[in-house]
Amino acid sequence: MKRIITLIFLVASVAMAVAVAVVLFHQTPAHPTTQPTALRIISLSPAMTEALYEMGLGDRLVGVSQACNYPPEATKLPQVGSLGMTNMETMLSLAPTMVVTTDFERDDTMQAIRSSGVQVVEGHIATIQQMFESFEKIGKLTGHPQQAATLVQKMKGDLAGIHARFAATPVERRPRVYLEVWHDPITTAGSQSFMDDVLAHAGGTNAAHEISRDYPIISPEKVIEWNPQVVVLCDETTRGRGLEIVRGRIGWERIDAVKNNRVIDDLSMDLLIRPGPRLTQGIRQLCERLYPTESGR
Amino acid sequence: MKRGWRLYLLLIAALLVSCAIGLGIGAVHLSPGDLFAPGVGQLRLARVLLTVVVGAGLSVAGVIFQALLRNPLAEPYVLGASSGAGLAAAMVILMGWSVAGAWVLPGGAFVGSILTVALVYALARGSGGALPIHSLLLAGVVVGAVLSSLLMFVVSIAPPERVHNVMWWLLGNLQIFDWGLLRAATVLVVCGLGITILLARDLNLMTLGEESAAHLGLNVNQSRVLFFILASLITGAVVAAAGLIGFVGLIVPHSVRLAIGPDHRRLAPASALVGATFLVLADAFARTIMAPTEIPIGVVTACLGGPFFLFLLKRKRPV
Repeated sequence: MKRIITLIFLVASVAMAVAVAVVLFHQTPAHPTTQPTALRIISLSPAMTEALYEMGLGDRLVGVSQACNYPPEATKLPQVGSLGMTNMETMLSLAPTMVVTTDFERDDTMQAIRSSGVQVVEGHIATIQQMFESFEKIGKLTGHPQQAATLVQKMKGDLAGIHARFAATPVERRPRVYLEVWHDPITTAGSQSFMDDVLAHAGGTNAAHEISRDYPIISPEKVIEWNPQVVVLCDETTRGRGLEIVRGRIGWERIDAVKNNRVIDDLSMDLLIRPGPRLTQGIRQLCERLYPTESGR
Repeated sequence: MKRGWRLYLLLIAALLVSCAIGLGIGAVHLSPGDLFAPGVGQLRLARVLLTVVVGAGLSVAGVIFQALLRNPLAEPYVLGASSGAGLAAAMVILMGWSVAGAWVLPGGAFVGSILTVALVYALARGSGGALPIHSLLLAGVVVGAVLSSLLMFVVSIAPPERVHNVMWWLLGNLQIFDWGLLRAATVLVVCGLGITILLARDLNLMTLGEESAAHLGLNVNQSRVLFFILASLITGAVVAAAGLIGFVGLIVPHSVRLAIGPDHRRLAPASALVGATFLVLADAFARTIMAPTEIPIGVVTACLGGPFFLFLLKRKRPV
């Protein structure tokens, strides 16, 4: 018995020594090959990935999250995990100098990344203004402020163009829209959400604006009371069946949006909820659905 | 018997009052005239009805399991029905199947819970068709634990925005949109309650222990299987309609037993009435305390029910 224990101990010590040697051996040559000044970015935010490509920084990206599905080139980059579940080892093995995070990431993971000397750029975005600021900030940090300014300018121009479509409609006559973020339990977007701002820029009034939270779970009877003129279903899997689903709910058949067939279930959520360069395309699509005739007359 | 009638009258009156409260308050102000009109009124009516059915079902299932397993800690989820249903529901939610129709999620949960208890039954069944209580309990607890870890695994690899929805399901959700679903749950629970009341004498015998029950003419194994199926069907129906609502099935039978004694002929119907009353009030609270935001019903049942039960326990020591 004693012999076996000694043997195990011996094998374990050798294995440990080999492991330590491998680690040391691997780490030493890693530094000279990478230039300390080269920008190596990992973007965990699908929106920021798009923005980085838009600013011409695509070739500086060395890793993305699984949620980064646009532009197509981004899907070919190494993936370091899904939203909120990133793999530290994969990330560090890519030797990033900068990591762009989202609200979903775990604080302890990001703290560990930061303490290993990597610049961590946080991205809490609740309004379109904050989105522009995030573009300008990343432009400055990456030495591309001009490109960031161009992007922001272009998107502001888009927004102004979209605004023209409904500018003539006074605020109180703009369509009252209920955004259904999830159906079970009923979840909507309150005034603290990015969607609330997006909807306002598309010319809609958020039925749930009175709730000063981001994505509250609400009583379905409240929706009946709001009596929205338009219902937007954010779950893309209901595409094509939205009206049928909403009409089938007890009491919901009396909602104006249901009576007038104004249940929208076919918008691309990547364009609409992602605070990235394509957001204005999504807002334009939504606006065109809210105001089917030019300038809302 | 006279006293019995008075008790039921009192409990029915309490249930009606709580239903009136449940119908009267909510995120939206309703005048009494609107209550039965289409729209908000119907929606709230459906919800209160579902809550009555769920509260009664959980309590009766708790009564049966406590008698069947002769264990004070038994409750509707003790044999793994909750973990099986939870795993199935989580899969349905995370795979995005729940949008295919109003029936997919409840159907999945029902199947998950029934399959789980069937598995527990198969594992616990001894030679010659005997169904020993301790095997049933152990098999239930272990199968439940395994399925719970699978549930945790599924949740851990799920996208964060969907995890939230699974969490909600696991804390109970009494939002209802489909009359058919309400009807199905009602039929199962009412039938289960009816059979339980008819066979309440057998439950009394079972609590005496295997031998005494057999001497008094009860076919113990046959009864066990019957009550096992009965309680599992009720639990499955309730879980399918409302997710997991803890505490009701545990504390309502105990509270009622403390108040009126252990005779199942009165305990079963009284627990159903008290459970329904309690859940209607708890749901009214959950719907209105932060309106129009709703808080999970499971949190309310535990926070309100726990201290109340401890109060009862302290006041009147059980045997």
